[in-house]
Amino acid sequence: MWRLVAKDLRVLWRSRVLVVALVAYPLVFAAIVAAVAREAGTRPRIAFVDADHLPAVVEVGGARVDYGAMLRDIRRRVNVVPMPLPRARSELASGGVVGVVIVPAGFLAALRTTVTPPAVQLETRGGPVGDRVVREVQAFVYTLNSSLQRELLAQNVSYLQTLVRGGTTDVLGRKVTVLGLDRTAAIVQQERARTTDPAARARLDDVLGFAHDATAALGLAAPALRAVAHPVTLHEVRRGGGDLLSNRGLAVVIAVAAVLAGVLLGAGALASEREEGVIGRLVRLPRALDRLVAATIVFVTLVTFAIGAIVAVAGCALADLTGASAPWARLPAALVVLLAAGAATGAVGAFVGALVRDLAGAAFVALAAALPFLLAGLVPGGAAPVLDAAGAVFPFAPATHALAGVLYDAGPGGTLVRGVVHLGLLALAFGGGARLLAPRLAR
Amino acid sequence: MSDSLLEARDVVKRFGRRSALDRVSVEVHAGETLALVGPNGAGKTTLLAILAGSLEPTAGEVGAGPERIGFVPQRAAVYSQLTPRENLQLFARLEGLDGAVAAAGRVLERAGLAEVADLPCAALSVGQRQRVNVAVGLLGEPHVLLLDEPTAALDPRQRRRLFELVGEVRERGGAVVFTTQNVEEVSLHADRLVLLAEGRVAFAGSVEAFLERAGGVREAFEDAFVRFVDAL
Repeated sequence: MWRLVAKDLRVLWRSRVLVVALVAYPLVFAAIVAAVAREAGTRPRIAFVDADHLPAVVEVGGARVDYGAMLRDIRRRVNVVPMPLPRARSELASGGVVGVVIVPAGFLAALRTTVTPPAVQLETRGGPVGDRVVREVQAFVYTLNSSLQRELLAQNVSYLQTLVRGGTTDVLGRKVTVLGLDRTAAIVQQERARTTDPAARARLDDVLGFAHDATAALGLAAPALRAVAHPVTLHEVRRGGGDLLSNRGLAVVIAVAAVLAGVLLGAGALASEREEGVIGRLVRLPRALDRLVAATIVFVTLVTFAIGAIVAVAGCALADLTGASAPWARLPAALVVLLAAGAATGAVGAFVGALVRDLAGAAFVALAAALPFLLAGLVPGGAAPVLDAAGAVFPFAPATHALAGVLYDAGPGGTLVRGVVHLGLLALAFGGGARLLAPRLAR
Repeated sequence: MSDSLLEARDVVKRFGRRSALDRVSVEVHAGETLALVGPNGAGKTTLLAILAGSLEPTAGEVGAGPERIGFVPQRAAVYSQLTPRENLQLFARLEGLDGAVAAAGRVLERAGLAEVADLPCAALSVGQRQRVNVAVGLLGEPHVLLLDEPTAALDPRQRRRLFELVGEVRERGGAVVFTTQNVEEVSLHADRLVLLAEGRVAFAGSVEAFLERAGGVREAFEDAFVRFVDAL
């Protein structure tokens, strides 16, 4: 078997264009898939229908809210596309957008009354992406409410302070002038000094006592209001750079590169034995088909291991450069997963090669079979049970899951064992299938 | 089994519902060159593959003594990205021959491939590749050499060199079996022929006996062959 493996490696090394293609194509493909996955996963496209023609800065009761800045913030997470309502609904029906946010006419007027809260309407298609849009829009509405609340609260606090000190302030857009508790107390103090009537003095003392208590209470009211308005605040700290290679993205890139190259190589390697015409010679040797299938799997395992290792090291180096935390210490565990993934991928490739038999057909079928599984494997686990089940019978999803686990999980041991066992079972199943089909190669 | 080097008895081969060989019996004796001839689809390649052990018969027996059998498939069955030397060394090792490097070197010399021994097979001419193909079959000095249409793509000079090359097997007391569509080759190089038609043996005997039965003369062997097949 090792002589056949050495022969395959030598033939591969002589086909420099194939070597370059085997490394470059999966890398380019992986980069595109990762970019598309990031775009699709983090910036779903939603339509924005502004029927009230909101200005960039909204003024409510004297409070100024930079609504434009909030919209820019949400656009970092979702792709907000302004459009008229009919087109928005048409695109929602056709899948062009995953949600429609409608600001109805009269929204701002209703907001300014501060009597009846206006509503923003959200229409979605449901599903995981739709749920995501709901969360994003809820966050946007929360931010808008919070900003308005903060502005109005600031006005109320200012009013309370004016009630204590006296003077003029804005309340819900109106100028209000009040005497203030301090000045009231000063006036009462003067009147108390002038009177000699003990009963009148006692009444004025009561007034002074109330003014003192009220001043103290209002002094506490401002921080209390702030605390009640924002019982818990979220403090976001971003550490590291781009998110493409800082998490599951690296696992996806490694798995795509290794699995795609492996399946194509495995299918091509076994089919080429027939294409070269040598299969008639080989089958005369003892246990020839066992050795041939095993050699194909070992050959693919070695090559995909090399490709995966190159991609993993390059990915970690890139993560370092972009300021993300590179999981260098986890690379040995990732290499173990790569060996198992290579064996499973080689077995799938050998299965396709034995099934289809001719080189061009085997390469086409391998690619055609791999693509849906690669795309299915990009869907987050639990989002679609059918895709989860389908993904489990092809090496990409288990390899991605295992790589992500061993690279980033706090306790990767269980993930490593489960991943290697899963991939090992796939290698046995497809390798067995390839061996059963291998006699077809000699026909 | 008799004292033949290789023998097939009542061999049947079916591919699905199609019968490729129907109770075919063939014996290969020491020192002879046997030609398997017949129209397209007669079962020549199938019979040769069964004799070589690369195809299992559906029924019947194939027997050989301890003799080593060399097999030369119709297409140049070598790895095109490897050189003739690498191909020969690889197949020698796969067949478990002792001294694979030396064995490959000897066969390269005998096949006249020394000058191109280190060029990729993909860069060789059709005739050179076919000689590499035959050279692989000669590894291990087989007692019986089976060749499937070995001269199909060769010019007359290359055909002659090829038969000179395989002649060494006979000289050692072995046997050569080849299939061909070129019936002139039968009259030139074969001692006996087995004519297959629709998976059955239509004739088995010496070239002279065939000519006598077909009513031809050696100079017009092809005419005699066509007459015989048309009359089947």
